[in-house]
Amino acid sequence: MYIQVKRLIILGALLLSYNAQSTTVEYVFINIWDEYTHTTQLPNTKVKRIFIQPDINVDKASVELFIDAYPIYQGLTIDKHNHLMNKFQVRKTPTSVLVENEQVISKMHLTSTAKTTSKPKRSSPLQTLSGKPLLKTRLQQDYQVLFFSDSLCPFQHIPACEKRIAQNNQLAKKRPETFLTVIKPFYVDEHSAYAYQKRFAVQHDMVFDTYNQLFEYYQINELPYWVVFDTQGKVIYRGAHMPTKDLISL
Amino acid sequence: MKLLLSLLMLLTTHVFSATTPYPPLNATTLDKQQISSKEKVTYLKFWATWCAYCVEEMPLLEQSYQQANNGYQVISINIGFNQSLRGVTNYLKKYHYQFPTVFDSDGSITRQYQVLGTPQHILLDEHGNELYRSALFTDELADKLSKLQGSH
Repeated sequence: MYIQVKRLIILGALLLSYNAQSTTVEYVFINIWDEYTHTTQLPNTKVKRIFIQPDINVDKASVELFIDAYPIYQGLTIDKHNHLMNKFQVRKTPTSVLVENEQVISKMHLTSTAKTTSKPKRSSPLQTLSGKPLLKTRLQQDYQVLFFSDSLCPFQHIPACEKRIAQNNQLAKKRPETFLTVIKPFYVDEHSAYAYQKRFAVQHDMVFDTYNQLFEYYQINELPYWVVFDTQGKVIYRGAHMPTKDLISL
Repeated sequence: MKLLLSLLMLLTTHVFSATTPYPPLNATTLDKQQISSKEKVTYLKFWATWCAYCVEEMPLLEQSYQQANNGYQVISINIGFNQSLRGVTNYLKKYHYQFPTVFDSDGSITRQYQVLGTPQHILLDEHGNELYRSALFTDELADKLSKLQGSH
């Protein structure tokens, strides 16, 4: 009898402890753009851990790409309209929030360490993805159309980018040697430019603008964006809308 | 029927939010000045120091501020996420930016204007109606600001 009661008490205690654990959740808020350059030190945990990405500068595709690169963050979810971030008053990432029965029992800013990356030297020559050397000041002689684009496409900063890339590909069909697509270097590396080339089946020259020098030189603020030169190398069109065919000597 | 009703409600909400004016923004700038969008054409720029696109555009924001010519007022809103007040103040000082800046410490202004990305440019008329919104500093925005600069 005594043993049975003892067993029941132990079973009850186990159930209670399981119940307590099952209602405790750790939300870990990270920022995927920081994780590419820094590694968050994730403490060991015995409770359910949910990775959360604040709804700032992200979309589903960028989160999926990130998870492919860092499978440890499998299940990472975008905090739609920052509902949880506002609820738990999280204003920094990475942050761990431990919640038990809907109550925050701890909130802790996690440490992260910088990754070592090897960036090409500033003196790296400008060249196309296929290795053809380029000279910033000679582009208007070498090409007739510069198409400034972003390998993060499709993304919220680059409205209708897929459509415009298709338009540019179509325009470049007849004389691809006169077209150059220039890729923005923010938040990405050259690999991303190769992926863009493949994804959008780009058949003309492309350059990854490692130091943003072409974007600065041509004062490009909007994406995607066209700059068209006449045969003398003079700019005859700048704009976010596809240039008309009569501007381009096809 | 339930689905149709839900869709209708969603549509109504969307139309309502797209056409309803924002209530006036009243805030204190980093220079401890009271600023309000009430009855003023206002150009809001949401940004953060960690946002490469935002930082690249900052000289354009300063230029838009310097050339406003009473055609509009500029309010720069630092979204406060992964930011510190001191860091933002130091950044603005370092580059001698003069435009009025509000530090959105709790994210309430960012929420009010439904901003989910940086940079974000919003142009409001004097009644708080949204005239224009874009992620980057587009030619269209430059054109609208330019027209406003010449209107006074």
